Amino acid sequence: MALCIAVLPSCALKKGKAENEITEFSSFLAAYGTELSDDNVVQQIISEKIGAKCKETWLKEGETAESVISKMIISGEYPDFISPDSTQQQKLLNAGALIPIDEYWDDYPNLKNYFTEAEWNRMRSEDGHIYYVPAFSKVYMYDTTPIHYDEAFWIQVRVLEWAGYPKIMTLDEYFDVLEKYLAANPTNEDGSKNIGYEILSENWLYFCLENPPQFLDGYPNDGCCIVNPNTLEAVDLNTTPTAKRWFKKLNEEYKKGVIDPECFLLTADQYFEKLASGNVLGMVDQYWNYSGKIESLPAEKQYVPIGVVIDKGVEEHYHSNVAMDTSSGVGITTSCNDVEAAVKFLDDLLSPEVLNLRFWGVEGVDYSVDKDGLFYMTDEQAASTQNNDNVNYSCRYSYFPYYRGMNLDGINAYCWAYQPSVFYGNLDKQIKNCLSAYGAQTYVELLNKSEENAAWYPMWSYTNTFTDKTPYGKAKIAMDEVKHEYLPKVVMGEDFDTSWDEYMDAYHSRCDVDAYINELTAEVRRRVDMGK
Amino acid sequence: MPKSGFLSDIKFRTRLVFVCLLVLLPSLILIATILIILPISESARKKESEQTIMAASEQYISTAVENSVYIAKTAYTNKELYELINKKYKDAADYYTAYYEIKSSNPILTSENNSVSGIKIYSDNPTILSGGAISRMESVRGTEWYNTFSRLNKDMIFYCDSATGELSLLRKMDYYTVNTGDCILKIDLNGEILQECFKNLKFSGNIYVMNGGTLLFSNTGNSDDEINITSDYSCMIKNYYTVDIEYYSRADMEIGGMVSEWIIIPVTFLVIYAISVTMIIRLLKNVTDRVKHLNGVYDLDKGFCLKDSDLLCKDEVGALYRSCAELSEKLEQVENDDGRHIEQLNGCIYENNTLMLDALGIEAVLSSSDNARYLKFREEDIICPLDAELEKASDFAKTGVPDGKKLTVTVSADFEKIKSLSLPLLSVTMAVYDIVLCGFENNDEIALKIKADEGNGYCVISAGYGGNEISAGRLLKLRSIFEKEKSDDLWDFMPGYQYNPFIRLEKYYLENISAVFSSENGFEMRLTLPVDVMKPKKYDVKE
Repeated sequence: MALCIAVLPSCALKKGKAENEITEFSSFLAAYGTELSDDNVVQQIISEKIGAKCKETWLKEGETAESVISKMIISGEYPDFISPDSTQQQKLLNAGALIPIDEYWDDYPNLKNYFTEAEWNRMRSEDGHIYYVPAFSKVYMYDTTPIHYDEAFWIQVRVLEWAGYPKIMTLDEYFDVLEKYLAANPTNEDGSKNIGYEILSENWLYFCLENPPQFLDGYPNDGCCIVNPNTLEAVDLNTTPTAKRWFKKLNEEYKKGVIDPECFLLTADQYFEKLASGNVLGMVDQYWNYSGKIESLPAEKQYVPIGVVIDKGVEEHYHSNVAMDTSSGVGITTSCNDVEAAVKFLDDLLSPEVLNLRFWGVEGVDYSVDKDGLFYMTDEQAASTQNNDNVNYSCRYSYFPYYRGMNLDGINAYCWAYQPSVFYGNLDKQIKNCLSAYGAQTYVELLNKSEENAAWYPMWSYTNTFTDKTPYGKAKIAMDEVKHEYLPKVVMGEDFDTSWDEYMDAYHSRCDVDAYINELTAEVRRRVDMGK
Repeated sequence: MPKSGFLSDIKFRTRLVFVCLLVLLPSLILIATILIILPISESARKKESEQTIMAASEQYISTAVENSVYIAKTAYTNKELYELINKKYKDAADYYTAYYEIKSSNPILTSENNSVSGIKIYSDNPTILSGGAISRMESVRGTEWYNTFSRLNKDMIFYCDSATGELSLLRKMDYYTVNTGDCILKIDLNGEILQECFKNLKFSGNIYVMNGGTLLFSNTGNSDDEINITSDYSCMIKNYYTVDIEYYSRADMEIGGMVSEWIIIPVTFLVIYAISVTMIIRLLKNVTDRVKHLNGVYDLDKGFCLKDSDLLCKDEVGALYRSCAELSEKLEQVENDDGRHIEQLNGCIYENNTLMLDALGIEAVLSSSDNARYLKFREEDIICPLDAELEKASDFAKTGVPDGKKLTVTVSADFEKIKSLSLPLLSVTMAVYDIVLCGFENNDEIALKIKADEGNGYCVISAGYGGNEISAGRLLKLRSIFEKEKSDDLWDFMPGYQYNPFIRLEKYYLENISAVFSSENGFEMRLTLPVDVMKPKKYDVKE
């Protein structure tokens, strides 16, 4: 009898996977995001349709992608999916932490055909395999984004409104408006001080400080250099005359007290706190970086992008078509027990039905469809969608592959927020007024229309793969160090020219700039050749 | 042989009930004991669990506090930090240069970890800038923590923000002389990580870490308003550098859960008990069924007639059956021997009859000579008066009654008329005897009537009975006796029939006789004999 008792429980533990059981994957996404609740509505619907779901884990406050992923590499234990930044992507590849997705995708056409063969070739590893899928680079038909997600000079709506919606074209005009507003409104009603201009300069986020010269000269966001389209040569954006003028302007504004004197000491969190206070009038930043921190700000303290150039006559090129960023993406790790199911999950997420669920919600509930197949939102649906709880309702799997631009039906935008009628209808009146003052209905229309990306674009996707094993990789690290050390001094320096000269001396003496630039030039030409 | 007592009188069914009860009772007592003890032990377990979880929780906080204390001690004696905050900077760039250098080289400012989310030094130095790990004191004057620290006037305190529930360690930086006013080190404990730890506690119940009514951490995610600390909570208070942290814990009474865990025992027991009882019933039923069956297979006449040999198993019942069967076979053998003896006896009788015929000297019969009637009969030996013959027939018929069967014989005749008639000795007697033998084949009881009457020169002698008919085959054989062509199996009719009385009569009366056999509602033999022949006379015997 005792034997029977001992045996029975173990028998009860045996259970097989039921047909309708949901496979649950884990993931780590190296960005600051919001974790979905376990009973998220749309995630549940998607999981019931495709038989799988993924628990997304994001960076927590105080964590960095490097610290988290380094621990994973040391322990050898990973989540099923991982989406690192470009630096960590290389570390993961070197650690052999990712499985070659292309060995599994033959039965999954949504995934296999997500990129063209030429595009896939750009992200093949040295062994010829593809280990990750860039999530944000694929546009179906054409870009429909109404929001400028990239870098720009941003200014608060209240400043433009106060100034009578002036046409701002140059750097001087931009700071002129800020100066005047700050002079007129040094404090807010609550007594808090306004900050004319803020700079984020911590770690890799210091692009807000160091790369505006490329935009001021009318070039797109190659990030690490300017490319001469005629000679196909990379040009060091740090040392151009415009760069010097840019930092000189910052130096001037710093001295005037328009720029936050503490800006170079701030951590990213401290910077975001200041933006979230609503007291910062303007800054250079990328929308994706700060937008999540200012959602609660009133409309008048929201930011609109301005296409600032160094001199009139220069055509700004802030808005680009989605860059083909092959430096990172979501990969399946060696810790995944069911790689086939994981590949299927990626494939299923790219099906038209699931894409609609991810970016539009539930038909009939979150949106409606007219007889021509055009998606629209009733007032109730629009209000409901605006108020939808991102934790408990929506599920975008935003770091997993998707199509930007048009919906796969060729009729609608890929996301409800990008549907022109929906977007404009949902804007606050104050923002509508601002956009209308500039003849625009979307944020993107405040900037010049994007042009066809050059074959080499964007070059930052290349430098993001640099390591310290190469001269040009070492040069990049040295350049970063020098810029981190000297640029704040240049901006804060009493004597700009002296500071600039010290900076240039250090820059040229400590950095093998030629190795860096030559490598970029070679990459530009390689990409051009590959695109032919 | 074992003693037979009252136990031997208990039927199997009753025994079965006893066995089941004897198995069930101790187990029920055991289960009942468990169910009684369960709440008591669960209550003790609950208390122990609450103490354990509070100790574990305290360990989390204690580790975080000690970690912050360690960082504070290191920072407190770090000369570089004092140099940074003591220096008068000429401008922002000058300060940035100094800060950038110390940030790159001094690990104190970057020693944030899982336990510590923020390290900040507040200084009254007017030439520094707020940002990173250094901040101006003026920005925090008037805050609750600053006021508390100033009021307590201690070197180091632990502070809990009553609004946010954040825990911080505050340390006065005065190891080296500070010429730029007050300097305070503030180390914030990483509340998110700690909360995550509490959330992940595998504790079935509530654990709350509080400070003066402010909830700091819990494993439930409840807010302050949702918490109601009642008297059934276990409580522990620990002081960390001036701050009392209260730990409240209440484990869920998991009677339901434990019952669901423990229920496997009674359920398992019941299953096993049911299986056992079923097995016992089957075992006993197997015995009782076979015994009943064996009781039925004994026939008084046939003995043990077991058709299903499966019943002859190897157990005690099978052995008993085999013993009984053997005994039965022996009895049957004895019975058969008796039958054989009777048959032998009958054979002897027939043989005796034959011998007797021989003795009567009926050589003609044996020789089947057509001149038999002319054989010289010694009248006094072979011719018998009819009345005497009928009397003999009546007596002799009674000797042919098988065991268990019954025969009554009545003889009716006008003896005056027939007293002068005579016929061969035993001719009618043997015929009647044959009739009786045939009759008992299909009848258990025969009322035999023998009649004789004389008239018109013939004497009619009949013998018959009512009841079942004799078989057709038998009737045919009887009739065939008088047919010209004799049946080859005449001898098979009955042993001794070669001395058949009818043949003898036929021989004697030279075919002037008729014999009618009818079998309808019984059987009747009617012999018609010429009276003239029946008169006693002398016969010439052919030489």
